Order: sequence, then structure tokens, then C-alpha cells
Amino acid sequence: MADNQKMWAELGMNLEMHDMLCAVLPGAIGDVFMSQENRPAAMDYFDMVLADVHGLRPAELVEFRKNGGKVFGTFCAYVPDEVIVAAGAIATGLCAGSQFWVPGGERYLPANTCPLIKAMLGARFDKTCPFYRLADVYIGENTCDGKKKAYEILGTDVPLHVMDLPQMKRPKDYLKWADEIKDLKELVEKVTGNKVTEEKLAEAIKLINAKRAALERLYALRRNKNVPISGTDTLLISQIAYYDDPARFTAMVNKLCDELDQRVADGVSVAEGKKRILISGTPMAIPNWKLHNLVETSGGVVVCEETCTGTRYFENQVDESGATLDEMIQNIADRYMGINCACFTPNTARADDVIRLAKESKADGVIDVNLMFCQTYDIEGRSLEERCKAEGIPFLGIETDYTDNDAQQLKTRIGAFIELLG
Amino acid sequence: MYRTLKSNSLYAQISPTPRELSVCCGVSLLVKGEDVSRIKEIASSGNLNYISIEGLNNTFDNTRHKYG
Repeated sequence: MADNQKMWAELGMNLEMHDMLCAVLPGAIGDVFMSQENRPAAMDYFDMVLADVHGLRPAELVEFRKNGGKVFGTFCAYVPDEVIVAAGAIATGLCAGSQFWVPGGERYLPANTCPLIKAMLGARFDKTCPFYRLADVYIGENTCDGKKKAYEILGTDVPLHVMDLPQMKRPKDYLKWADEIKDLKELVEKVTGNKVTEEKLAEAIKLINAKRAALERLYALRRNKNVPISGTDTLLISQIAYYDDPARFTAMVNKLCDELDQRVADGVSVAEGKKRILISGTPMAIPNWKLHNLVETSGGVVVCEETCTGTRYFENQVDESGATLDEMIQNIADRYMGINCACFTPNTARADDVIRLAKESKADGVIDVNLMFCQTYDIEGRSLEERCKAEGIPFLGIETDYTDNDAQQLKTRIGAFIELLG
Repeated sequence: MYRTLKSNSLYAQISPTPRELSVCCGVSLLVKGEDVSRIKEIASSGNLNYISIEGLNNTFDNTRHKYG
């Protein structure tokens, strides 16, 4: 076993505090994942990544940095990994899905800030996440007011670049996002000392497109009448997508999909008689498995996530036909502007997505889950409910945070909702 | 070790090392108590290394709803 303690100490982590997280996570992983029955064998790779979440990948990043490599930490599905990869750097998502980090964030932020943002700051300032220690530069984005202001605080402790994401989708906004991506390209070139060439960017576009295609394949398999994989396992895969090596991750997802193809052919289901649920809403950063665990222990199976840890992360590809850097960057901008986040106005396309995905995945109902104090998603909940009702799709809106306090109440509500689905 | 146990049709589940056993987190294999002597034989004959095999009185409960 690798000496994680030594690595964490060298990264300047607060070992005593981090140990408290190490004490609770194995139990949660056992309850949420290992208690499931009939899991695909190829989940073993993802189980391994999760089992040593603060050891395996961080050790790779340590080695990469020893050899002069640079790591860029990101927080959002809008930040294009393609540009970072093209400069020979590594992009890693910075996890912010645990209540463990929230109190640390509340020392810097008002309590009525969303838990994801509070966890971001807690993980950094409490020195309890190796990924936050390993990123040389953080790439933020102004997808909400809370993040925007939190980045100002985070930027006092670590080099941080904020991308100015347009909040409308007019033709000039697509051009503006391409300009922002050009700024990112200049930044990564400066930090890494490597030039983003046409050849490198074209390769990176293909690499990340392949990753998105693998996830698309995985999600398509869940549309089958016999659901071959649980939503809980799929959520874990989507969370790992943010920080694993892209080529290896793609290979492992495709290997899993080969097994799932066979399961579909054999009529194997992990959710016999369960109601099919689409979850929409705010991202579920690792280790936030609360809603999936509640749904899947209450007579439901999650068959799709219209979230940033779901379809928003992988739907639509970057057009690979660009020949010049400018063309490629515009193609990247166009793909990412196609994500329908509640930070945009108007954002009716997101409701279109939910309806389409509910139909494609043959969902019996939609559960819209929003993190507490996420104003934009919370406000959209009402119009989303109206759209779903107009389409005859049962809808449940939930607001929650990372604590366990409301788990039993939510279980009662979710259980009642699923019961009503017939 | 994992692959060898699987190829011998033994139950093995990759899992995080419980805090009671290591302060480093890390990866462990969850195996069945009744398989332990067979696993020791396989490890010994195949030169497979492990730190130790320990039993814990832990249970998995998917309705505990404690997420860490």
C-alpha cells in the first residue's frame, strides 16, 4: 500500500483533520455502493478509484508535477479540458460534495451560500483535499454570484483565473466565449511553457470527444427496459470523469459498456419492478450520493441525470472539422455554449432537454433536486414543473444540502412520490 | 490478488480500507470469512503479497443514509 500519509504531509495537508474524513468515508462507500446487488464486474475499476480517492490519482499528479507538469483545477462543466490537455497539462475537477468541508467554508462565506461553494473554500482552506493542494492554477467561471465572489476569496490563497461565461446565447455571446477560451489558451501556454498547436488541439478535441462518446454510450444503455446498471454506480462514474486520466477513463467506461451490452442482451436488470426516475438539477460533486441512494432504496432506479454530473457534461461533441486554431476554438466554444445551465437567460432549452431525456429514458417521473441557496436552479424549478406537468410527466421538486439531517424526511417524500407513480 | 481471487471464483470486492485498519485509507479487498484459509493458500502459492487479513464487525446498511 502506498504511503498516502507521507504524500499528504508533503502536500501540506492537515492530516489530523483529514483523518476525520478518512474515518467516515469507507462506511458511507460500503453503505451506498457495496450494499448494492448484482453490480457489473467492470465497476471494479471505479471502485478502486473511489476506494483510494485521495491516494491513487493524487499520486499520479504528484509524479506528473515532479517532471515539470502543470495541473489545472476546475469547478464546472463549462471549462474546456481540451485547451488544458493540448498544452500538455492535466485538468482535474476539484471535488466539493461533502458536508465535511462546509463548516470550513462558512468561516469565509455567509451561511446562506450553497453547500458546493462553501465546500470549495473549506476543502482549500482546511487543507483536507489533496486535489486542492495539487492544482497549480484554479480555473473558475462566473456561473453564479456565489461562485464569483467565492473565487475572490479563493484567489487570495492560490493562483486563480476566472472565465467570463456569457449569460445569454446570442451570436455575439458565442464569439465572446471563444475569446474567453483564447485567454485560457494563453494562460495555459504561459503556465506550462508549451504552445497549443493546431495538431495538439485537434488531438485533445478527439480525446475529450471520445470520453463524451463513452459516457453517451453508458447513458444510452440505461434507456433499456432492463436497466443494466444502477443510477448510483453511474453517478460515481460521472463524478470520476472530472478527475481521472481521460484516455484511461474512456477505455474503462467502454469496457463497462461492453459488459452492459451483454447484460442487455441477456435481459439482466438491477432494478426489476422499480420506477424509472430522471434526476434534474444542480451538480452532485463527489462524494454527494445522497439523492441517488435515497431514490434507489425507495423503490426507484435513476435512469438519467440532467445535471452537470450527467448529460450536461457529455452531450454534444466538439466539431472535429476545424483546421485552424481559431476554427477549433470557435467549435469548442459552440459545443460548451450548448450546455443549458440555469445561469443563462432565457433558458427554456433546459426544460426541453429534461422533457426529451425523460422520454428517451422512459422515465416514470422527474425529481428536480436543487442545492440549497442555488437561486437560479431553484427559480427554474417552477417552470420546469409546469413543463413536465403539461407533458404528463410526474414531477417532484426537492431542495437539500449535504447534511444527513433531512434524509428521513426526503425518504418519506420520495417514497410517497414513487408510490404514486403506480 | 483481486484478479487471482476472481479467477478462482472467490468473492472479492475492491473497497476502501476501513479507518480501524489503516490511517492511510487505501485499497483493500473485501472477502468472505469462510474463504480466508483458501485465500491464504492461493496467495502463498502465487507469491501474492498482502499486509494482513483482518475481520471487522461492520455491516453495510443502504438505509443508514450517512454520507460523510
